[in-house]
Amino acid sequence: MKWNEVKLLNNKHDVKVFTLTTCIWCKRVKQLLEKEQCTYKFIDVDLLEGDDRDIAVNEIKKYINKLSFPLIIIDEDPIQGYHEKKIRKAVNE
Amino acid sequence: MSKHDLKEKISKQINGKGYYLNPDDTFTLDLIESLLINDKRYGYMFCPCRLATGNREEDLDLICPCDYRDQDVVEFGTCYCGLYVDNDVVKGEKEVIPIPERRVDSHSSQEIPTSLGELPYPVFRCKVCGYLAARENPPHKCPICGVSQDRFERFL
Repeated sequence: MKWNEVKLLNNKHDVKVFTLTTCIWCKRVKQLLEKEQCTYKFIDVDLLEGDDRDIAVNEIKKYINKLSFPLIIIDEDPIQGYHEKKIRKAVNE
Repeated sequence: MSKHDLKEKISKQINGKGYYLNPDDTFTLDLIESLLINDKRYGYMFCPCRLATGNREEDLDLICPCDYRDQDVVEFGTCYCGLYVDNDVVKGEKEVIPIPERRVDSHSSQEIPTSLGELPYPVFRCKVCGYLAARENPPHKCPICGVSQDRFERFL
């Protein structure tokens, strides 16, 4: 399972996002992180196949019970869904 | 089919039935484009905001409109994706926010009840036209005759 990385100026936290290419909320999370100049890694789970997809799904289920996108992991703390203020605060504090 | 054509088609289907598309046109057209992508990928318009297995039988409850749309719109004013919303959102009185996933992971078909006491859902009746809806709450608007939610009675 290979992470895509977007390198920007804000490197305060380790930020990982599980996304779907078809999900508009997922696109908004990526846009928000970029607006906040936040370096992040993402994985588009709908593009994964076979073992890679199983690994990603199992990884997601370590943080949340139900599969849900986008899932943002900031220093191991999950934020489920596009909660703009919460995400902005977490990546900047 | 283009995203504009599909939007037009959906709009015609829901017109006057108490269902509304998200008034944020850019957002709605993006979602509709994703539905077309999923249709091409899987052969059915799977929910853009969920992960498909690619097996139609397993994905059936999440083909748009999903089995959870109506309950989510009544409870939160929006479906899981934000494609369908309630009239308050259309009027600008309510915002579309991310909502929790209603689907349970081990999705199994329910057994057919053998007596009325075992019904998995209550049944609501439109007192005007007799339309019956077996779901957690009556719809905001009767999809058949158009009257409001308060014209429904608990039937079973």
